[in-house]
Order: sequence, then structure tokens, then C-alpha cells
Amino acid sequence: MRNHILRLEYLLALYAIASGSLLRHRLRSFLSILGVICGVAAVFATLSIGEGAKREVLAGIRQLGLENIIVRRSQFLNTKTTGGESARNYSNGLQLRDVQLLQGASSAITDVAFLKELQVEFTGMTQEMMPQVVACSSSYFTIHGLTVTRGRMILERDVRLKKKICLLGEGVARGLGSKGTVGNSLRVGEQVFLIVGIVRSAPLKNQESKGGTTLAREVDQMVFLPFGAHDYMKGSQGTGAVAVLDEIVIKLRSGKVAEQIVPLILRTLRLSHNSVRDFQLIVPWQLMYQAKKTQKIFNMVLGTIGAISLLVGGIGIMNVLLAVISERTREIGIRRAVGATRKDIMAQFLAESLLLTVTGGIIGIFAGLACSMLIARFAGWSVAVSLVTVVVPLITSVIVGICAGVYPAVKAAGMDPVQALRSA
Amino acid sequence: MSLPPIAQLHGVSKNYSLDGRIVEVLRNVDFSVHKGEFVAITGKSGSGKSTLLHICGCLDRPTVGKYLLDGRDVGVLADQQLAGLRQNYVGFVFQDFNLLPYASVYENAALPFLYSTLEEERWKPMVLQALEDVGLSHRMAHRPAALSGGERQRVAIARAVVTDPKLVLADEPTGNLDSVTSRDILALFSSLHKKGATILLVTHDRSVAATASRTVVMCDGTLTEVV
Repeated sequence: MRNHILRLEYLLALYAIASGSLLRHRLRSFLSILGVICGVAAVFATLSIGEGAKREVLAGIRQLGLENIIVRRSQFLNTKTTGGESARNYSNGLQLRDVQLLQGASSAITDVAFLKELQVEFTGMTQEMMPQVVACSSSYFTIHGLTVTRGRMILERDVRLKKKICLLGEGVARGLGSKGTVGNSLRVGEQVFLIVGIVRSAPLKNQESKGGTTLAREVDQMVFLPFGAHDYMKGSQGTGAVAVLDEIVIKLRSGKVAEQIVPLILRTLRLSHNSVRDFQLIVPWQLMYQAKKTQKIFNMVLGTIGAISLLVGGIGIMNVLLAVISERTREIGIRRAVGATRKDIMAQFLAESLLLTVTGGIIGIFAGLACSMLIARFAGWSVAVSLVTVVVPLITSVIVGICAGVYPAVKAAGMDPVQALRSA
Repeated sequence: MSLPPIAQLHGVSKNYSLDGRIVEVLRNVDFSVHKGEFVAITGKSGSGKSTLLHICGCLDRPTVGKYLLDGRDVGVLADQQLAGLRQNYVGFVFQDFNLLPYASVYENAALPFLYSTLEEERWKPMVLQALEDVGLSHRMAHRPAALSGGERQRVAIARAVVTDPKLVLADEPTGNLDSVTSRDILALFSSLHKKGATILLVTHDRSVAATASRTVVMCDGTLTEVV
């Protein structure tokens, strides 16, 4: 039994024969792989754009915390009474009472944080740099996994004692320059707060998203006060039971229980708000599930488009290989006469087909990369090149090469050596 | 005492189907080539000489009868085994050389080894020796297009003998050559024969056949005369 097919020397010889054959007809070879180049470039570009979009969305969702459920104050969504004005009479919006109710609603809820947005004018800051001032509970930072680059966090004690301290986002601190350091004072409205820490920007925001998702807050551009400290400010709604909150963050034992907990939260809040839907629920885990589902459909559509392009490319290669075999019939006869088996002939033409498509695949990847970079530059879309975006088109081109080469290779291998030798 | 037969045909017939009609090319041929013989098959065009040669070279199979190559029944062998026989037992020389146009003289001569398990360091000296034997050591890097007809046929002969086959088959090897070059090529065959090669040569030219030690005449698919 001869097993020369697995020898490196033989494989190198096959490569030399295949490359020599293709280089002798450069233009024809290039034209034949044009379809594969376009197909692979399309698959690569769409995969990298899809991957970029996916990462951006998922980064935003992850930033919200997959184990969190966020309740935000909103316009009246529905009501059992008629008209917004009458509904308003029945609900005072999100309040500290809701926080207490939610804390005891289920053992799956491990923590609850809350936040109130403050409308404050800063003097000496540009409109673009205008930070968002919020008053929040100390747990807000732990729930969101926020840390400080310098100084310390807001503690439970700060909230309880309504300390006149603040934390700055890194962007705000940068904007303030030397005034934005720990130990300095910051004038917020008519009050002065001591800067005790600088909050580290969420890494995902900096690296993967310029604008971030609208759901996640721009920590970078925020000033945090202890909840209660805003009482000192003019026009504040106070910290009593009637204080209207803008956001309640519920931390769950696991994101997977979100589906069971959501109805419970809705029931609790409906009872508390007299069935007035003046809040909205954001469930990051559900959002992620939806995003992944959407991505899957997106990938399927893109994959189909790429597959059609590659199919056309594959047909082009098969056509060229059939022409090559027709031209080289005598060569097949010669090789058979000196000892080549049918498998050898098959291997030779499959090698040519593979070399064509893999070359097309590699060129296609570079073309796709160039397209992606142009799109990223001119359209401002997020593009991500990963191992998958490179390997998938390459493997696909190999599969196309094998599929396109099989029929011509089988045809060549099946030729009668005597007839092949007699051909012109 | 005669040497053992290399090729033995027993009652070999070969039929082709042409436009629904059966054409009998070989009819009940009994024929042997012994080790060290130089046999010429002569006859008119279409008499079945090349078909007989193709069967002897394991490129074709008999429709009826038995062909033994070095004692092995070729009829029962699979394609891969036949390819192995063509590589190690048989060397072909064709009328129109049948060289790979894009390969060098060296690569053409080394072609049979592409499909063997022999290491390059073992077959390389064999290729160099074969090219030296046919007087083309100085043209190894040239392509066939740069060679004369006689030189091309010498490359084909080198390729045929490079594996040291048990049987060298030549199909009208001088058919495309002028008389002077033909004489050189025939001299080369004689030289190979003297070195011990077993040669079966097909020609329609009786003067070429005269070079052989034994001549067989083929007429209408049968061996009608043995001289």
C-alpha cells in the first residue's frame, strides 16, 4: 500500500505544481478568484461591523449590570384613571418608600440603591463640560461596581449625616484641572462641597464606545453627592418620604432570576403607585438576551448574503478548473502513465482549487479589513476584528475551494489514461 | 536456457465499442517478452500495436484473456496497484515525447518519483545517472521547448528508465524524428538493451524494427508472424 500522499515532500510538490499552474495564467487565476475575494470581503466586513455593533450594545448593557434591574422615573405610561393630571394625583413618583418596599420584596433582592438628579448651574464651565449632579445612596457605587482612582467613596455615614462632600467623575476632575483634586472644594449651586474622591471611569465606556448607550450613565461627567446633602441646596425636594427619586437600582442574587422577579417588582410598584405606571423597568439581562437574539438573526442574514457571494465565486472557480482540466488532459495521461493514482490526480486539482480559494480568502480578508476601516472612519461605526471574523471567512473559503474543486478533480481522476494520452 | 518471461499475454482480446458497434482490436493474442529481450512489434497503422503496448504497460486491461507482468495477474489488480506497477515495473516512451512543457528536464525525468515513497536523497542520484546516460546532464534546467526533438526524446527515455523498470515500452519512438536523430535514439535503445534492459518497441518502420533482437508482426489484431 503506497502512502506517499501524506509525505511533506509530496505535499510541497503539489503546492509547487498548483502554484506554478496558477501563476502561468495570472489574469485568469485572478479573475476566477474575484468572486471569492468579494464574498470573503463581504463576510469579513459584515462580521466585523456586526461584531463591533454587538460589542458596543453588550458593553452598554453590561455597564448597567447584568444582575441589576433599574427602575427609572418616567412619564405616565398608563393609568386606570383618565388623563395625566388625574393620574398624577394618585402617584407621587418614585420615593424612598418604594426603596424600602423593594428591599423586603424578595430574598433574591440583595441590595437596593437610589439616585436623584439635581438641576444645578455651574459657573465657569462650558456647556459641553456641564456635569450631571446626582445625589445617591452609598450602595449605588457598590451595585455598579464603581471604584475611585483617588480618595474614597461615599459611605453610609455620609448619607446619614448629610455630609457636604462630593465625588467627581474623571472627566469632570480633568476639566476642573488643579481645582478638581481631592481636598479641594467644589461650588455646586450656592453650596460648597468638599471633594473626597475621583470616580474611575467605566473601562468599557472608554475603550469601546464613544457615546455609550443611552441607558447607562456617563460616570465620567458626573458629580456625586451623598443622598440628603442636596437638602442644603435651594429648591430641593428634601429627603423625606415624599422625595421624588429618578432611579432605583435593584441588585439580584443572579441575573437569571430577573424573569421571576420582574412581575414581583411591577406588582409592588403598582400597589405603591396606585396602579399608575410612572416608571420604567430596565432589565439588562433581558436586554442582553434580546441583543444576542437580534445579533443571531443579523448574523444569519449576513451569512446568507456571504454564502451566496461565495457560491457564485465557487462556481467561477469550478468553471475555470474544468477549463484547466480540458487543457491539461494529456498531462493527466502522462502522470497516470508514470504511476499517479486517481487519488494523486484528484489531490493535484483539489490543491489548485484550494490554493485559488485560500488566496482569494486571504486577499478578501485584507479587502474586508480595508472596507471595515473605511466604514469605521467615514461612517463612524464601531468595527471589531476578532479571531472569528478572520477564521470564519478563511474556513468558508477553504470549504468553497473543496466544494468547487471536487467535481473537476473527480472528473480528471476518472479519465481513461489511454484516451488522455491521445488527446491533443 | 531462456530467461523468465517478464510479460505474458494468454488469449488476450480487446474490444471497443464504437458508435454502438463492437470493434475487435486484439484477437486471442498469445505473446511473451523475456527478461533482457529487445522485441519489436511491427505492423500497419490500426493493426492493434499500440493497444497491445498499452495492455503491456498496465494502462489498459484485456477484454478477454490474461496478462501477467512479472508473474502477477494484472487483471485482478485495483487501480492503485496498477499505478504502482506502472511506476516501478514499466517505463513508457511515446512518439510525441509527452513531456510536461512547464517542467525542467530534471523535473520531467524525476516525475515517476513524485508518486513514490522513496526519499529524495535516494532517487536524486538515479535521476542524475539517467540524464547522464542519455547525454543530457548539461541541460537539466532547460524546459522541453528549448530542446530539439531528439533531446526531448532522450528526456522521455531518461524518464522511462529512471526507476530501473523491468520493462521499457516504446511507442513509435522515432516517429517524429529525422533519420539522423532516429539512428541516435535507436542506438540509445540498443545501448540500454546491452546494459540489461528489457525493451518492447512498437513501430510501423521495418528498418527500426530491425534494431531489435526479435520482431513480431501484427496484422488485424493478431500476431501473424514471428521472425
